[in-house]
Amino acid sequence: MRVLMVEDEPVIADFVVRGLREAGHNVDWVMSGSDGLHRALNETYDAIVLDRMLPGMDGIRVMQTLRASGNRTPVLMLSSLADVDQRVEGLRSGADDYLAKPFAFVEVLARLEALLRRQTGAAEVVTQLRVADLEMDLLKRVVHRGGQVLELQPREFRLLEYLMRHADQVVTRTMLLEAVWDYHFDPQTNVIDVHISRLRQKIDRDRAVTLLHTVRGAGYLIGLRT
Amino acid sequence: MRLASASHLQRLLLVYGVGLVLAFAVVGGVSLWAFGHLLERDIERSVTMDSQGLMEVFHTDGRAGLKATVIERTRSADNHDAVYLLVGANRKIVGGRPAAHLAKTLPRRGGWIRFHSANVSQGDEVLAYVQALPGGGWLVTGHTTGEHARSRELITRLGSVSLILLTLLTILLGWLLRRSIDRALMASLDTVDRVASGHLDERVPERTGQDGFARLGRTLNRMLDRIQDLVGGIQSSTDAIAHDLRTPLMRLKARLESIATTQGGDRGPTEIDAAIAEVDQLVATFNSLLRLARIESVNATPSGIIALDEIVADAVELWQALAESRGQTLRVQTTPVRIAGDRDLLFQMISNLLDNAIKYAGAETVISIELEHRRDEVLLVISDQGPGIDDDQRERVFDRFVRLEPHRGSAGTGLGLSVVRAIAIRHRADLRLEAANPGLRVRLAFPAVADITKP
Repeated sequence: MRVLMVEDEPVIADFVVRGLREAGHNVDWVMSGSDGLHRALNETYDAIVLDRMLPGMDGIRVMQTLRASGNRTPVLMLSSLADVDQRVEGLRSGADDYLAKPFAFVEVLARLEALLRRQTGAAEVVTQLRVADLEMDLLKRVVHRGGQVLELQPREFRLLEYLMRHADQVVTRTMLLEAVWDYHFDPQTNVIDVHISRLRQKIDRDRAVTLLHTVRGAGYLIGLRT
Repeated sequence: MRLASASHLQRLLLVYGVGLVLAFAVVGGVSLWAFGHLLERDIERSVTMDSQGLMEVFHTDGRAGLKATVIERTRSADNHDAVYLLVGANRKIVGGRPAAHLAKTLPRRGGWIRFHSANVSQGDEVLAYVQALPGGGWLVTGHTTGEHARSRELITRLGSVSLILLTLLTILLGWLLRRSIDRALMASLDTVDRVASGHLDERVPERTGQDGFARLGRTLNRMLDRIQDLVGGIQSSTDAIAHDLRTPLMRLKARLESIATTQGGDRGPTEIDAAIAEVDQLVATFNSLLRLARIESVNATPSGIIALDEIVADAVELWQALAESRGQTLRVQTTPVRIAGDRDLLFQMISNLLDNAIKYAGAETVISIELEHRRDEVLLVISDQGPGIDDDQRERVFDRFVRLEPHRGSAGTGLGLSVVRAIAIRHRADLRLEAANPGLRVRLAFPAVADITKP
């Protein structure tokens, strides 16, 4: 995909840009808000990574101008202001997601890919999710693996659904807390890990091929790993 | 809102009113007494003059002349208030109004007496002067006090009616005064309340003049200006710190991650991963501190009405898995309750408390969560069977970075309970730590919705 990166801090920009290129994406990088707005309006991107605090024109203004002109490119806003109300302010200005600094690169990548998938997959209504021999029927709310029914608690179902909707992508702990539990808070303990290991017990126990993987320093991923 | 000093003001006005009524009663009583005293002096004077007149008759016309005058005066219709009695040396009545019992008790040397007589026209008490006659016998000259008693009664009635009227007027005036003082203070206090609940730019209406109320308004406004400056300062410096520290931390993390990826993939945890974990821990602490500063600097009570039982259920559901992995049981007892609150903050608060309970209570223990609706409060109680907290440490644990058992080496920033307290204050909840014997009981009392919606 083609990504526009608007970030005035070279070290951070370099780190994100390099990572995205390694992941196989095309990245354009500009340092100021006005340049970013100019590029975003005149060229076509699949996604924009926008820093909130920029010299000249700040990220919120760029965001508002972009949306006011009818541009609907998905935007991931990066910010050193991490509080809930600042986050709400960012999302209200039209950003699709908001990530507080400092972040891990995988978090940027995971969120960007989730945004993109949301953009392209929004049209069709999905009733079936499938990862290898793991199948989820969203209408009957049942999960099978290899023809065998798995008994899941409602929250485990939502957790697995989110993971399967983002199959083969890294999903971070924060993303899971926000999407599955729907609370913006700051857990001091990795409380998600226990839920994941319970889910893993149910889907991967005594299986030759494991599907739910932990990605070191990042989060989790569901899919076939070679 | 009720004026905080209402009872004090009421007391002041009550003291003032009761004092006023008492003062009137005392003045009235003294006047009544003085009035009676003067009337009696008046009677005494006229009796004395009467007596002297008769004695002159005695001296000029002798005993027979006196007797004739006494009999004549007694018969005269003009003298129905006057009493005359001439008594012989043998204590027998010679003339005048018959009062046989009196004749026997007359003081030998004369002087003032009082007696009752049914024979006199008005009233029955008589004030009389007894004059011993030269050569034996006595002359009694008296006057009824009936008129005096009636005047006295009249004045007493007048005084009582005035007292009742005065009491009613005092109550009315007191009520009016209280209302006007209340109004003058309420306007200011309502403004201060609104400022306290987060509307920092509101100001008290200022009055012209030099009295206490005018000064109160000006002083309050100066104080509110100062508070607004300070809060603004905290917020802008918090934002500045956030930006100035997060950016270098981000660079540090970016560099470490770059090194980690160039050194290549899956060789297991390395020193660089440990360094990244340290950065993350630093960021977690830093985030908690900033969050704390933000929660503390915004004083507005959240206005959204939320179902606390659902938040408790969600939090329990999130933490249950962790508790069970340690063999702990979460025992939950909730009832549907609504409070005014911020769901993310409340979730954070309950999470921190459950995190602590799970962390510090041992394996195979029970952690209980109870939510109930008392009359005017919503009570959330979380108790564990862990080691508890000593009495003298209970206040300290709310301070920043205080960790009672560092030797446990458990993860955490030492800010969890500080955040809990800040969120409790923001929700006007009363937060208490109690001994659960064994263990710790955290008791949170939120105002019930009906109370919190009042301004």
